[in-house]
Amino acid sequence: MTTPLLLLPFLEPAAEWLLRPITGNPTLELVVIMVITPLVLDIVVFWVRRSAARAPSDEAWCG
Amino acid sequence: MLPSPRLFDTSKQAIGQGAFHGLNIVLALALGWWTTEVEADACVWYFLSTVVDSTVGLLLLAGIVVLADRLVRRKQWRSLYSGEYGKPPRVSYWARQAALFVGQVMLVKVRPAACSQQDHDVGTMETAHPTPASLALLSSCMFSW
Repeated sequence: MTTPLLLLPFLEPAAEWLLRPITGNPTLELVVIMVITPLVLDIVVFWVRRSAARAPSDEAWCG
Repeated sequence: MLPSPRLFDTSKQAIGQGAFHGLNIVLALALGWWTTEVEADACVWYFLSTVVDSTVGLLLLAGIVVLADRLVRRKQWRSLYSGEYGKPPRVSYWARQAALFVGQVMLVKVRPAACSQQDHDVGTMETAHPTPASLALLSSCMFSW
């Protein structure tokens, strides 16, 4: 469901503008896009998902 | 030694995130390839994909998880009660919950197949090829498998 959002016309220019300072430096680009960005965002995602994945209360079978 | 619920919880997360990450890479490559007119960079698509999934996608996932949890509890499918693996913990319960979680993650990522024809309206897309949605669906099936 998020896939069509990626096709919104303003998103790609916005991302290119955000990444402009590091464009032309493939190593830095790789580190920022593939390491730093996912790391920061995934911390938030894991924190939220963790609360969904675990048992809701101490009364769980093995909680 | 029996696996602990914590290990089950963590591995469920890892599997879900692994599928998500793999699908992001496939989509980035596919979208970068499709939007030939704007010469898009796969790195840009991956960046966009990560940001959108971590914001809008996370909200969608939370909604889907809540709805699925309500259904599971209404139907009393105890093996799908999130985070509860039986006493002693059962691998089969974990596998079912992991499969459900991967399915929920994929649902967030992949648009409904019924809407895939609308891809032809996107100006930068080449209509002679299969749509990005069908690629996403194919890749999600591969990951689910």
